[in-house]
Amino acid sequence: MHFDLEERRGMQEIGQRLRNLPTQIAAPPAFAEFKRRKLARQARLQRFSNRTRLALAAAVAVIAVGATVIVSQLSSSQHTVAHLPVTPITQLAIKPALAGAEAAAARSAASEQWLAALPAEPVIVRVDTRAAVTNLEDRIAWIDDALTSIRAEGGEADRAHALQSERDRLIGTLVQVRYAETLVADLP
Amino acid sequence: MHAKYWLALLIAASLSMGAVRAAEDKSTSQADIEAQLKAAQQKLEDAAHEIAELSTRLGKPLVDRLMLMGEGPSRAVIGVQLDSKGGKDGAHVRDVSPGGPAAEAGIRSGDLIVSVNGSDVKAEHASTEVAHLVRNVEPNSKVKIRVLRDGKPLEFAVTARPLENPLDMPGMPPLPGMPPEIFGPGGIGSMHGSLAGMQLATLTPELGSYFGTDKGVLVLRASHNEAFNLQDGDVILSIDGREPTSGSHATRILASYQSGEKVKLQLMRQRKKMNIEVLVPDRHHSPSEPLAFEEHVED
Repeated sequence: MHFDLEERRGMQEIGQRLRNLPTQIAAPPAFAEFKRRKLARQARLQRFSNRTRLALAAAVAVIAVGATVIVSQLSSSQHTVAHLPVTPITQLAIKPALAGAEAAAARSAASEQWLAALPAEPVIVRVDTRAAVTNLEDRIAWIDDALTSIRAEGGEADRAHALQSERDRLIGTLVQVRYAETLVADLP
Repeated sequence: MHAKYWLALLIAASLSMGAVRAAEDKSTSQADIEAQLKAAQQKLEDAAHEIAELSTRLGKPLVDRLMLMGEGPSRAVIGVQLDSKGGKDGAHVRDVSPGGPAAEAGIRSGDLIVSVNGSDVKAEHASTEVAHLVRNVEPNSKVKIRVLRDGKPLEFAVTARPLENPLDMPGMPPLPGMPPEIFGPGGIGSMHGSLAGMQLATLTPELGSYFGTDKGVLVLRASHNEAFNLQDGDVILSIDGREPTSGSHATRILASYQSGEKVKLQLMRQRKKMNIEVLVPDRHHSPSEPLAFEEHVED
């Protein structure tokens, strides 16, 4: 393969012409405008990235504060959870720190609050389950009346204590039966 | 040509048969799931019964002992537990029985009872006074109770609930190996047998206008064994003259009968008032066993 002589001559001519060009040529007429726009864009990008960093930092701070507030509220609401309209049964558990009668009384009080939040009866009353509920309710009413009598007449404290324990136990049973009743009522 | 035609027909037939079989399988599995759900529902109800029965049985010795000592209500209760301290201002309500008459009327724990049926109880021993006054009211009668709540006076009409000696109270189920007679009338066990499956609803004014009455309890589903000769859509207007105000009330009344007792029911059936007299079925009543009843339609 050989170079074309004509072509090579042309290239030498071009090279000569290039060598004759001035070392510094004038900028094109729109270069100033191009430079101004480029600088403006760089400034905008810089400002945006600054704002983004600030916004991100603020968002992180807000989330952190929010999470702290929510966690603190949730932990404090565990003490007052029985005041909710219908508290899940599982949340009626009492702190293990409470023991004996105190724990039973606290459990009974929480259970009674849960029971009080329920409607008096389901819209559709299933007679056999309701019979179990009304029977327990009547027994508790009987015990309450008996406790009033014992206390009013200055009866023995251990008898009152035994009856109160029986009441607490029946309240626990009533919660279980009513929970089952509510579940059955909610099924299709 | 014929071969292609028959091949296409065969493919179409097999595809359609497959589709039909798949649909059948699907509906069968749906029916199975529904049946299983129903069975699980029944198990849940049975478990609730068992819990109630065993719990009741567990507390019986204590109640028996107290009854022997002469403690406990005599005729009717309002379902409150009063503090012995009380005070000169009134009797302090320590607890309200869940589902009891006082709870239904709106009395809360912490209220201060200041009068019963117009009699002031601002005495030294206010709780004793209240207990004495309540003990003398007629069962099912309205008791006017005036309380102070946060210093404000409120008045409630409480229906005194008849409660028998807990030895006779309904609810004791037959213990294995022991005769059922010793467990008193009705109760959870008998209800479970004679009224199993019955569903009731308290009548709203709208429902009432549809059924042609403004009071009563609607029978949504009669019991499986047709006990009490009730039918779906009946409205129970009264049971031996007692007008049930809710499904729970009707349940309480029906549970108070013993097997073999006669009960007069006033019903609204297909917008016609009628009276029927039925024998309370045995707790182990067989569905095929005919029940004795008389029927009178009122004009």
